[in-house]
Amino acid sequence: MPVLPLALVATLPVPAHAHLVNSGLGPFYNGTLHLLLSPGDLLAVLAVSLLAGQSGKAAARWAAIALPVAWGGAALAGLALGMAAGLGSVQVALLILLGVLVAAGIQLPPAVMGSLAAATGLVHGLENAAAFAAGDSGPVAVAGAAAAVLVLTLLITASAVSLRAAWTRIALRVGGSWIAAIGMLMLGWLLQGTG
Amino acid sequence: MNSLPPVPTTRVLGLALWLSPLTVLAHVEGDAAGGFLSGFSHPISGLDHVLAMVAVGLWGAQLGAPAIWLLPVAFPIMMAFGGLLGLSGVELPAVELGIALSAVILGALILGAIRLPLAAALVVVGLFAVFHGHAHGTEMTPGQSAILYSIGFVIATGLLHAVGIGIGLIERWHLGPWDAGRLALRGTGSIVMAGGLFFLWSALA
Repeated sequence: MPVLPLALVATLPVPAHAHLVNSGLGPFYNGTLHLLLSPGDLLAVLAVSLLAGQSGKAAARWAAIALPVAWGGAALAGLALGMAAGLGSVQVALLILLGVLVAAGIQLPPAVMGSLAAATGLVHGLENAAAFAAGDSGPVAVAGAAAAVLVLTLLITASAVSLRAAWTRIALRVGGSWIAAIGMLMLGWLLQGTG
Repeated sequence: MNSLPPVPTTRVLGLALWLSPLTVLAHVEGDAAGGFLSGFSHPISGLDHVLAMVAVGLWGAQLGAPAIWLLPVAFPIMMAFGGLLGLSGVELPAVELGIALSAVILGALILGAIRLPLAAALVVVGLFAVFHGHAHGTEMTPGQSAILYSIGFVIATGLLHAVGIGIGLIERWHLGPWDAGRLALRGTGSIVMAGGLFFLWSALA
């Protein structure tokens, strides 16, 4: 038996394809870091939060509850069912819609805002389920990511709600146009098959 | 000379495998940072694009509220729409001509201090933005992080508008009996127009 060669081959380093970044602080913070290092997910949180803040306090409260709950719930459901969502085009469509609504200065009723936040959370949670499945502490990592969604949503909506000066409201709408533009370019990449 | 004892082939093979370098997938300015920087540098890499985007900010500043912020809101969205067309492979006629004309016409509007109705101003800016976006869309290179490329691209475009608005604020600089700030802003229009004429000449040549 060629034991030595086999042993050497067994020790071959292989590329790691794990999706969760190792924060060194455990699975909860791995999940948090995963969200913070995912620009697409961050952009969606930003878009929902800006629209919610623009829509007023009541709408912001609904969004701050609906987005993280739907995000975490969908990720857990996807984790449990072993789903590979493939919802990239839906994510992009939502991003364009949210950006256009912010750019147009639309104020949504609380229930509609909550539903839109929940839909965004649902899509992004499902899309991320596969990444959490890569680790052995998936649910804890999902909790970390959902907590990050909650904190970011609270911070951004609170900031957006408190905007009073005219130029800050304009800056918010300019931000919305940028989000919509990013969404449109992402759609182009998706149609090209490289997104 | 003593010959060395023979080494089993399997051991040599195993050692060679163990020492073989794996494909390195990381690059300087690779995936993430490279995607953002590549997208960020795209709009600022061509003077024809820079001229037009700064001119949008200049014209917005000259027209005042609400055009000062509505034009820079409309331009990125319409440019991204043009980018979407370019990425999707939809052909547009005379793209380079449209880009050069955008600088000529925007420059002329600033030089003449022409105040179009808001809707007309939005149509002019939006139409030209599609040409700029289409040109960028067809030139975008695959293999980048699409989301970071797009973020960098849009931020750079927005910042170019902001530069235009910043320069355009010289209009509020009321110096002397002949309103130096207003004249200086109109003067920037002549620079934009001259640049546009150069690019128009190049596109037609």
